[in-house]
Amino acid sequence: MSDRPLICSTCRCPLEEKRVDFEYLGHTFFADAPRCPVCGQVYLSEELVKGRVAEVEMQLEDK
Amino acid sequence: MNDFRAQLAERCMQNDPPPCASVCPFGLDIRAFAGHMKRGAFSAAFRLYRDAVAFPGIVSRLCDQPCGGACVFSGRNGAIALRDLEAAAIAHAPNINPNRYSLPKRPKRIAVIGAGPSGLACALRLASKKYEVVIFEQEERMGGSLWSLLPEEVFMPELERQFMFEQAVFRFSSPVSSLAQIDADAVYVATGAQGDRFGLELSGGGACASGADGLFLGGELTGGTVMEAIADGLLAAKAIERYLKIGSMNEPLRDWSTRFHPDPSLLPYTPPAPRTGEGVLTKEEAAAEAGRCQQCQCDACVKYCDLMRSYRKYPKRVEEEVATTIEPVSLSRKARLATRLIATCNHCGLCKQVCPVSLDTGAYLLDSHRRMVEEKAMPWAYHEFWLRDMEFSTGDASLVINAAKGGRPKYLFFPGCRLGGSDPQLVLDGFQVLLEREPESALFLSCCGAPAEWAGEEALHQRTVQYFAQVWESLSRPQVVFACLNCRQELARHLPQAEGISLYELLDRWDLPAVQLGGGQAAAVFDPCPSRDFPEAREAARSLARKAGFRLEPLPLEGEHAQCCGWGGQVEIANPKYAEGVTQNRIEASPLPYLVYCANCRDVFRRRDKAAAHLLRAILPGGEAGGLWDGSVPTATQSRDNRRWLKHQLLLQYKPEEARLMDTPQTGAPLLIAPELLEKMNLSYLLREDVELVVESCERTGKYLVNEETGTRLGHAMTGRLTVWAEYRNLENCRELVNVYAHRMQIMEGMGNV
Repeated sequence: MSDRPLICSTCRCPLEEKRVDFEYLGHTFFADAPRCPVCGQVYLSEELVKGRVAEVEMQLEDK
Repeated sequence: MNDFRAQLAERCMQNDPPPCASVCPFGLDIRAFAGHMKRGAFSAAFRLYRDAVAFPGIVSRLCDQPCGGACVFSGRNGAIALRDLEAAAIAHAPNINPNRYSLPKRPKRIAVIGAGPSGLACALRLASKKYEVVIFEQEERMGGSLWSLLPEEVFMPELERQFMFEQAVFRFSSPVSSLAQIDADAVYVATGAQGDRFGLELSGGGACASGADGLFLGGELTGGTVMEAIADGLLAAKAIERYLKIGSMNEPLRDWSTRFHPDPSLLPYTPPAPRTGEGVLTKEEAAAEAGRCQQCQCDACVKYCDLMRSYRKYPKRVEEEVATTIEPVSLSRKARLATRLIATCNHCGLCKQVCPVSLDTGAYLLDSHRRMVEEKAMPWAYHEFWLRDMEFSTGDASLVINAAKGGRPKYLFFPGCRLGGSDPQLVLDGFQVLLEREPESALFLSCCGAPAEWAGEEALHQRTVQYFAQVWESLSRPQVVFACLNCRQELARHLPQAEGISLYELLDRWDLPAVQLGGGQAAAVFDPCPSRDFPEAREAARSLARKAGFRLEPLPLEGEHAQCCGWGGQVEIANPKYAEGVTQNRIEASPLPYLVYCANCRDVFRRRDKAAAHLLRAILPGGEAGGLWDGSVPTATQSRDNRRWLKHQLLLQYKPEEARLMDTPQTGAPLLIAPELLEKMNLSYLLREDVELVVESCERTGKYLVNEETGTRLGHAMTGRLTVWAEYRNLENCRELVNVYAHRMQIMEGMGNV
């Protein structure tokens, strides 16, 4: 899915790698992920969610 | 919370020596020794033994084996032959010479009076630590009482061997008349039975300590046997070293006493093998003899509890780690290492059941879970799904039906939330049977509150129990009939005034027309863990199964030792691998099909394809199509649908006007979900309604991502605290789900620009 051309429905523009902020269990952190450059809508691929995101969640739970 | 720590300190016997070692004058670690021998590690066994007794060649011949009398198998005349094992360790160790250590000399001088077994042991130990040791002996030879106990050619080479690398000065034919003539920093008087005491007495304030600083005495002089004399010598060496280092005469007295007395009937017993020869045991014979040793340790908790066994932690260790997790020393959350452990307890109660002093590690973990929730330190994801499910059970799916004409029912059937989710027809059938026998009955669909208790959500738990209490009071306190023993246990603990009975007891008492579904087939009754508290329910379940024609065979652990199926505590989100492993362990306990009387046990076993059926399904007529043992397991979504269906059916029968209110019209286009995606959603604890909510939110706000190639739309929304992503495509009159996934971390919108 990551190489498919995704377009923001409201702004009609392609996504760009930009900073996205996250929060889990009181920890905040950020990473670069595709976002709409205009409205900021975020895209997290399933690959990312099942991989790195799940890993970080697990690490934070075990901290 | 500190109570548990105090209880552990006072009562836990995990560190108590086994009975054999507790009577050994040397306190030999017999467990470890037997362990080495068992696996043929004769060198390791020998070194352990030599370090404990100083003169292995002498002790292995002279010891009168008090360990044999204390051995758990002594009652069967089958005590482990430890002295034979010791001799075998010496015979089969590749090298029995002492080690030669090159250490700096210590500038302290110790005098030992008497070159008998005790004096020699003390001298050897101190000389090996490179103290300057002088031994005064009135005879012209060393050995003392050994001369009357062993042939010279046995003990003399052993003494010489042990001293071969040590520099001790022997002054033979040197009687000491007064300690004043001795120039030393410490003195050990070991002049043998009836020897000279030089006016010294044991002070009792420390091992071998006299009342005078630096002067010690022991061995046969103070009444010990020759074995105790050697042990005294070794202990005196420790006491002297302590004195030389810190100036105090308070080396702890020898105390290897134990409170731990294993029950021989619980230990596998192998009788001793017949001896083939007169001499030393062969390597194989020695390993076999050591193999009979059970290395007794108070370890029932780690043996039986899946959690403690898999984490390899005894209760003391659990307490230490949990205590620092609840109250981390640092203010950051970095010290909360045992969070997942706390959230992994099945709360089955087996740890307390098997503990000889009834220590309740499970209750401690539950308390700790509550504390973590109060501190907002428990990850919400572990229980949110279950708490939402409980909210559904006590809310949308809840219902009270009072069929009693007089308004005051005799029985209140409380099937619990899970049976209706798993097999709603059984709830209807069960209620029907109840009504046939006792028309003055009512039914209450709700939840007992266990999910809130397991989640550590105490206030919510209280409210849920309170809700139950209100309904029960409003029906004038009928007897509660439980289909789920978890509910039975939960309410017996938190609403003890509500009299309860299991449905199984009633059905057994009523002698229903037996449906001979069993047909002589062998099966095992799998007791749910809360049945531990309800022997009468366990008996009724077995009686019903027999009446239904099953030939019952026992499981390795059942009844009061019932083990959790893996579902208890709802730990499968916190620790999915653990929950799966527990279920697999239970499945492997027997190849027989399981008759269960808990819907959760049934569902977890069926999910892993174990032949299992709910006992009610086997004894009540009708029911689902297909074989008894291979019933399907509902997904999380179906479990909710089942409960809605159940409520609807009951409403149609008893309150048709309310039934109509449940028929909510479909809003928006229907979402088609392929079976593979339904299964994927189920494994991720996602409900159909959660995914529909995401799709509807995308369509309503017009905010989503478009894949221009495929035309699919992708968007996310939060259900509870979970972020769910749904990819879908709009078709004519409906939508089709293409993919779905979810994560726990939250995307902070509107923060990425600065």
